[in-house]
Amino acid sequence: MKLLPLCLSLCLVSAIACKHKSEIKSYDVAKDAPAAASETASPADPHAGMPGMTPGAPVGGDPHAGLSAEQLAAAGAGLSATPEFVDSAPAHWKKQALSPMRLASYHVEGDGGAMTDISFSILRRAPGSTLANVNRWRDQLGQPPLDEAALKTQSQAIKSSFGDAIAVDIEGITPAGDPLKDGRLIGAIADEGDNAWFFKMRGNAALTATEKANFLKWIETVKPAPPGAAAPAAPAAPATPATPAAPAAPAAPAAVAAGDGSLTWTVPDGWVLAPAAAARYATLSVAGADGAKAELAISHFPGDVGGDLANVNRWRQQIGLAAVEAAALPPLVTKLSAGTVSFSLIDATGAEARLVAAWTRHGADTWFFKFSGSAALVAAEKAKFTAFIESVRFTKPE
Amino acid sequence: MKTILRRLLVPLASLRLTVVCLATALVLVLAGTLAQVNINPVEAQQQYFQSWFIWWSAGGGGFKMPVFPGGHFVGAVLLLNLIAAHIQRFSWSWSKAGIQLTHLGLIVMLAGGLATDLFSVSSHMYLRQGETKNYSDDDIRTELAVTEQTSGATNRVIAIPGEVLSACGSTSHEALPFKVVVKGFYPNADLQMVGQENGPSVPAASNGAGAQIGIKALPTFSEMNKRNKTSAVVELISNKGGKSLGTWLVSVEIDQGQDFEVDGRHWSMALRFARYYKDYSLSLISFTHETYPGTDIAKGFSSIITLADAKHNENRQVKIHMNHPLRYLGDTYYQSGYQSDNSTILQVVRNPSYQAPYISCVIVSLGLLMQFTYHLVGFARRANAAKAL
Repeated sequence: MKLLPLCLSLCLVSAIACKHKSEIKSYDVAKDAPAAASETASPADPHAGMPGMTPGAPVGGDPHAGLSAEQLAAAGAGLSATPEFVDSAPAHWKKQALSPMRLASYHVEGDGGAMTDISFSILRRAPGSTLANVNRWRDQLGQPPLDEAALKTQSQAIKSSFGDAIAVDIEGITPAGDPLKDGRLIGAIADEGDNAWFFKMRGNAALTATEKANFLKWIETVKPAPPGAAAPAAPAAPATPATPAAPAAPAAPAAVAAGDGSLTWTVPDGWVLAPAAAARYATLSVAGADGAKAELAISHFPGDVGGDLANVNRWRQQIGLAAVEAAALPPLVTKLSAGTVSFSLIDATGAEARLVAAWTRHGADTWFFKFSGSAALVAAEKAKFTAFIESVRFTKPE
Repeated sequence: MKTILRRLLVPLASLRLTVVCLATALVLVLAGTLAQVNINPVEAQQQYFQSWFIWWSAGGGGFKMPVFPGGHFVGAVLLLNLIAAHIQRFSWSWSKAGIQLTHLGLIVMLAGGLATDLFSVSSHMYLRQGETKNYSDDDIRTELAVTEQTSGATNRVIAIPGEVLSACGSTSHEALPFKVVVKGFYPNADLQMVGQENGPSVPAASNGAGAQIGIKALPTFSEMNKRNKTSAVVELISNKGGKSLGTWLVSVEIDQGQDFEVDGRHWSMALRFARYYKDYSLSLISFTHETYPGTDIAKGFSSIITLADAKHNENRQVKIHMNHPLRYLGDTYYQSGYQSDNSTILQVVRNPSYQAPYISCVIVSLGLLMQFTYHLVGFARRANAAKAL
């Protein structure tokens, strides 16, 4: 009995002597699904299968804060291979050089040297990283950090191909900041598995605000490339021109130049470029689930082609509607901006067909974008048509 | 011989020594608590309680001297004191059995505390709905994971602990065709793009991400809600001819692997929080966060997970919620928290001596009960004898 405490103390001393030191471990891990690690340590080792296990420290807390994902992305030469992505950027966004972690990179130039930088990147997700990253963004603009509750009220839930994301809009500038290149940051973070996906636009406050809608739409277009897709990232504005004469091919969402290069646009998701047709600059088509079809005909003619009233009435008659008087026309026409260009827009629905048409004058010509087809399909695709018109840019001066 | 042993035991078994140890422990707890004003609780625990001595360095220089006994020292002396007293005063009799048992219980408690201090490991497992993991992450300790990308189903990982890196020496391993020479280790650092406004002008490394990033050492955080950005600059030296392959910046901020090739073999390197792999996996089926109606005040969290262990033929669903942990193969999973995306955070504790306090309490209780009963019976006998007179 006297020896019992002595034995206990000896056991303890032995255990201390056997205590794991900080030693290098070598083990195999499965590439895909989690599998038990096969530790090279002795099976008798109480920590076998737990590489590197040594007495740990109590739990730390939360966020990683530090170098932005975007900066890492920019610096990411030599980082592990990342998945390939496609996106559909507005035509006026200028594509920038990519790095392995910066999966898409654009910048937009405004008046007087104003600019804003747009990027999409991926980082392994760190615990509690969303709030930390938002606060890091805020810190970059000299703004105080938020807590979780404040983040909820000051963020917007948006959809992305990588799951639900939160978007934040931060205004501010540090004393050392250049107002032409800084002052507002719109960012979105989506989590998927072990990864966090960062969408960020930062630059001149006014320009960034102007581009906000484009940015949020663009986020929705960023998605993993379908199997077999070649492009590692989005083809952007100055992409290879696609001529209207080219045979129809499934078009990946992309900003493309068409015809003689007078226009660039972003092809909506699900729309395809159709074969060339007489008197048309280009044709795009979209098919519905029940076999319904709709077509976007793009054409241009010298002059005003008889005037707005004559054109609208011709279109109305094509879908079985009566002509309208000149006085009734203005309320039917709305305006839509695409960069610096203003389009007139009309929406008319017949018994079975529907037509949404936009037109604008550019130089000596009037350009027409007539989207018509099954009423249900046109209604369903109208938002994409609107986005398409907003993406249209003239590459040649008037 | 017996006399010498007894001479040694007498001062070691002294009750005065017990009192001095307890008083020292009181001072230590007070000092360790107050120290948390300036340093984070983890550091305070390491400096004051998980150490043999508390060290003082003059002006932060290299010279250090012990100024006060640390937790391990006080605990060890107290343990020796108790054992010595036990040996010296032990004599088997029913009248002292309870006292002996109580002392034994205290010895078990002290030994268990020390074992917990030395061997318990706490980490966290972060699981999103539908996600499966077979490892947990340390929250403090880091490791440099050098992974060989192979064509097979597995990759070989050589994990070099952050403690080894912090020694800033040269490290080699039989599985590596190169040496890892640490050119700089930063417990906390600020990484900034080279050329960025007010940023560094010199890149931290010649290869990988570090070729465009500068590094600046920062003091470590004392706040528990901040995490140090541990970073290091390492140089790889080929085993063939000792040729330098370049330098890399590794950081927990760049935990995605940086690829490189050596002698036709493909490698990737990342500094990450140390991983503890399991022989089984957990998948999160669902996480529930209940709040009291009309408030954001938490009422309860619970995670329903699938435990899969082919080796032990286990595949079952388990609900982990507050005060209802999952215990499996020496690991205990507590519901620790959650994130806004309904992912769960499980604290994973591996403590080989977690039963020591329970055993100790049972022994001490038995000892006290025996002692009390013995005296009660004696008292009753004397009382009855007095009545009979």
